[in-house]
Amino acid sequence: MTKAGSPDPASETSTSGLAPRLLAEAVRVHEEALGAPLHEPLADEQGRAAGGGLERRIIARAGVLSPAPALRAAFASLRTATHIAFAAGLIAAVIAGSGAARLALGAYDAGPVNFFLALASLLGLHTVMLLVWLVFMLFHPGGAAVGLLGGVVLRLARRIALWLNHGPLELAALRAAGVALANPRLGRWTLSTISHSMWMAYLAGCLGMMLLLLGTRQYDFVWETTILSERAYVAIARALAAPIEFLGFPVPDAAQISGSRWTRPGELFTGRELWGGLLVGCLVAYGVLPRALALLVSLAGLLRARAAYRLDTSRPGFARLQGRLISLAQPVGVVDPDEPETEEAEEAAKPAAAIGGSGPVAIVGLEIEPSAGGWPPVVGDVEWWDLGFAEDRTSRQHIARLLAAAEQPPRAVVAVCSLAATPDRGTGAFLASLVQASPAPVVLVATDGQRLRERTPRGETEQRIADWRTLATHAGIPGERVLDLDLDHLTADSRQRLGRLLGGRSEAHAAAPPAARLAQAFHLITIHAEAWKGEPGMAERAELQRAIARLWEAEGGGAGWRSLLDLRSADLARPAQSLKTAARRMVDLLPARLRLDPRWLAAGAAGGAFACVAAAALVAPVAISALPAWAGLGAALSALVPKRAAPADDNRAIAAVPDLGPAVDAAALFAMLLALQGREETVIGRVLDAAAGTETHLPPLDSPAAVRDRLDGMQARFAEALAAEEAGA
Amino acid sequence: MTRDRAMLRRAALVVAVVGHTNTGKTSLIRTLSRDASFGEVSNRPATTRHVEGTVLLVDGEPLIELYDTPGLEDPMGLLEHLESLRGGRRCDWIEVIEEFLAEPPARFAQEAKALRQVIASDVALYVVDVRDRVLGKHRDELEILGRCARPVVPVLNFTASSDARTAEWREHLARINMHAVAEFDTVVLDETSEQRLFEKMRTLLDSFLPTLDALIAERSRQRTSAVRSAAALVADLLIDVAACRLLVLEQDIDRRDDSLGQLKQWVRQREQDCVGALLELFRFDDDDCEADALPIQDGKWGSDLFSPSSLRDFGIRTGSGAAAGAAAGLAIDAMTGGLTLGAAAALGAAVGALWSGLSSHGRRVADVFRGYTELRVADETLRLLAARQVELVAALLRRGHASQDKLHLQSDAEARRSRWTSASLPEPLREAREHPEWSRFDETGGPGSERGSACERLAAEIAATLNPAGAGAIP
Ligand SMILES: Nc1nc2c(ncn2[C@@H]2O[C@H](COP(=O)(O)OP(=O)(O)OP(=O)(O)O)[C@@H](O)[C@H]2O)c(=O)[nH]1
Ligand SMILES: [Mg+2]
Repeated sequence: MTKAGSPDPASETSTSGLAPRLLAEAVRVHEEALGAPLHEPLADEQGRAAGGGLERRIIARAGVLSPAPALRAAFASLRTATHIAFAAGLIAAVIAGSGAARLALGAYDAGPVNFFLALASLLGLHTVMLLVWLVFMLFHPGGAAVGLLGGVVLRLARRIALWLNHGPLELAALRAAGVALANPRLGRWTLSTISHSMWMAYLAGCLGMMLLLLGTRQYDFVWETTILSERAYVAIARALAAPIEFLGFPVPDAAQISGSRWTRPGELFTGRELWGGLLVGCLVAYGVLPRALALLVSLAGLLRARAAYRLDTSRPGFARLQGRLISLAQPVGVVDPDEPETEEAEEAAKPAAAIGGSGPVAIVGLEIEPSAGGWPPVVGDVEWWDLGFAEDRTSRQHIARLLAAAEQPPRAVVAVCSLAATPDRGTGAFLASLVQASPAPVVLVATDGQRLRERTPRGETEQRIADWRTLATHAGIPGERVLDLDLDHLTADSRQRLGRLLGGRSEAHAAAPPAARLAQAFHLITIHAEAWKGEPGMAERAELQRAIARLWEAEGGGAGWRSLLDLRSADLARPAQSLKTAARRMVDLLPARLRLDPRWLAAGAAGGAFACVAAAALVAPVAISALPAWAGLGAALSALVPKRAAPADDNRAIAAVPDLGPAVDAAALFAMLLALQGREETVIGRVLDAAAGTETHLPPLDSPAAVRDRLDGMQARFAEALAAEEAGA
Repeated sequence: MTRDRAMLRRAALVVAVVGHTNTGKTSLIRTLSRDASFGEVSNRPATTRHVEGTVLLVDGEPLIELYDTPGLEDPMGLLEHLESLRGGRRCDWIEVIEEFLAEPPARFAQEAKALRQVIASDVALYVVDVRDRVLGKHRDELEILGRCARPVVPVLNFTASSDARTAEWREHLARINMHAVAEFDTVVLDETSEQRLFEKMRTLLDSFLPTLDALIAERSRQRTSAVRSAAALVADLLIDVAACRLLVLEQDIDRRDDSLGQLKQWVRQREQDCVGALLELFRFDDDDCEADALPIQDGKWGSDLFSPSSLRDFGIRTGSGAAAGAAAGLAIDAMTGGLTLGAAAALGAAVGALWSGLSSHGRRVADVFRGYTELRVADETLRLLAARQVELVAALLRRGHASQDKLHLQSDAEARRSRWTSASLPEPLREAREHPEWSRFDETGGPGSERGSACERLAAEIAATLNPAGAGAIP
């Protein structure tokens, strides 16, 4: 807080002083109670216009908010209440003071007054409290709890204010004042000032009453002691009297002092006026003067503390206003606008020459990484002429030269680009030059779909393919000669497509009617689900998927799905690794919508992982849990198979009902994948998307009937989507 | 002379952001300026087709001008063109480039805009997608930029991606004598990477030392203050919820569900308010986030706070006895006067402490005697609330303004979460349990000095979990 000491000249204009800050503080308290800042764009605008640091802007905003006038009124009434409490305190202090004086001088006929006792009863508590205050100020400067009487007065003021008015705004004002007083400097000096004022009133009451009594009545002053010597007493009295004499009060001298010792009743006393003078003098010198000094110091401290008071802008209610009041950046706008594209004379796309004849197929990679399956890729019986990779200017020129100098012109030129790369004009220019230079038609193959899907969780795959297609069209490659197929995961379907385009002989694509096979698989799931008691364990789920996989194995469709899931047999040596790969791959095959849905994401990962177990266990006839490899797999699996994030609106104890949903969904996904194997990945994605359905909040599957229902729905949607795909193809 | 220098220092630093297309130039500016509405960002080529600027301000004073440029799409073609322009002459490359800029051919219009801006700037930030290999096009881009006679700071973007090839890029850049390289990710904002970016610029631009220093200082101050404010917001929420309670008459116990509904409703609203405040604090928009599919609206954050599965997601176990209550999200604090007094009496001296120290506790006991049952938010719910908010803050701290994806919970969030799932509740929260008047749920309740101090202690604890070595510890 000490750093707030030096007032910042910039903020001393309209926003300076304590009042506007208190207002801002009250606005904050009010807004925090409302839960959100008031939405008043005009006020925000004013705050921004104020310029400078955050505090200045906050104050400016608070000053023009709609509750500001009411808050000001609340502060005014709070001030009134404080004044009332203060006045009441002063009056009470005066009364207390005069009462104390009366008591000290005692009843008129009670005999002589013991001077030192009277003095102690008048000034004793006062002096002790003053010393306490001093000690606290000197040795505990951080604490605000200085000034007991001040605290009492403020609490009284609070009561009065609450009693006068207690709407939310008044409460906010009150709390704001509390916050300000919690500031160590401000609180300390305020409390001190009030306390000292109270004590001054007390002393004034004392003094007044004392003068009145001494003026109108006759008191005798004596002193007495049991254990102290007379010499000591005289010395004390002289010491007390010296400064007072200096102030001009009449005081007794040493002889008069020793003469005033009480001896026996009825004695005549002298030097009354001297002793009276000493008493009044003591009150002034040891009461009024130090108090007045302390009061002045406190007043000065209070003034300085008020001027130095700053808002703590890291308080959440203030800090969150930053966005509205201080911009971190100021847009400049467009400085060099886009020129409307000069209509390039678009060459009429010459009808694409048919691909045919003999000769090899030239292949060139555009800024791609050699695929895992080797380069060039194996596609049926296509005979490749490898032109290498076009990476920079030299290699581009080299390729152009190779093509131009070809002895036997190629049947076609296949340019392979990566879907993970952004199609840019540079690549476009190269494609155009390739089309120009090539004696044969050019085909663009966009590979790396998997990497693109990994990179773009939001599923912008279609957009990227479309962008490449546009680029190719501009370069003179007709849209139908742009193929997106993953060279790392070639399916029977994609091989066939590429082969057909390149005019080679293609192997026949003979898949079993997928719908019928899927029906069998779904029936298997229902049978297994009926046998499960409660939620199935890892082994049971793997068992089910193995059974499903067997359906396809029988007709030789096993290799397809295993390569689709990257489950080449060699990898099974490292089970944990291939579990992960398969799960990952299965998830990647899901369309973006399903991947973002926790339920399907979990089903996909589980389906892939169990598929891996199924693949490993296909050949063995024993139960999966009896396989020796299983022991290690169990832990890896349970780490991999995510807990399903249940739809979360049912407050009843869900935990009690077993939910077969996760297991059924995973198995169904796996079965659908098997039914779709050999197709394009994009087709797979679309069909799965449709088959999954759109309901988001599914009840837990707790009975075989419910399982059958869900599977029937899925199967119907699957058949419909597949039919649509085939009609479209 | 000195005045001139002062003027020079005041002048804003002009920065051109250049790079191949779709490498995150616009995103970089969004993140640096904390302005999610700057320009247009998409995962497609040639999204930005003009030069657009924004000025970074500190307390209203412009310090750095950032200019977004169209991507360099055909650097190979451009380099070839420049070389043909130069022919056999022996002049400086900058002259050739100026000649090119005077009359750029239409096919290089975008590249010309970018180069023009580079030449008009004090420094160029060359943004790279480090997931790419170092390809011919990148070499040619660096070559062209190297001929523009301006300092260039390569910014390796996408460094948080799993297939980032940061080392490969650094090696290549070092080979062509570029050693001041900044690593960045516009989506996963790392607290130090931004600072290091400015520091890298500083090494090349000593005339702008004060400007960059001022910006660095301001950014770190802002971050510290944001952490502190966020922790205070979360602490305030937790105290409010921990303290809140509802009194239900014993004979009305069958109408409890209404009261429960009321309390739940309030807690949810309170959490929503806190989320709103946090988003605003970090300068994220409510709708901006909706478009960004921030999981607050969908998925886990939007899910029901009180559902057992939601509790389970966060690894919070509901105790067996409390299971029924926890399923409803609320524990019915069936404290009976006799029980408490008996227990306290057994402890002997504790009785005095109980009655004198915790006057509100005394009131609670009295309430029970008057036939009231207390409904309060269960510990499990409180823990979940805390874990969610703390993770939200952590995620916001790491969220660049270029983000378009969902928030991904970072793995180190696990440590933070465990703080809320394992140990007993932090002491200030336990204290709040005893003070219903601290909760804003109670109309007349709310801030006070004792509550304030509890809040502060809790906030310090939260700030420490957020930032073990950093801002939390700064007094
Ligand atoms: N994960 C991740 N994505 C990023 C990052 N930077 C940019 N992106 C994404 O990359 C894509 C391209 O970002 P832009 O900012 O539009 O790129 P640009 O360089 O301005 O592109 P052009 O204006 O077209 O040249 C967008 O989808 C961004 O969301 C990053 O650091 N990490
Ligand atoms: Mg852009």
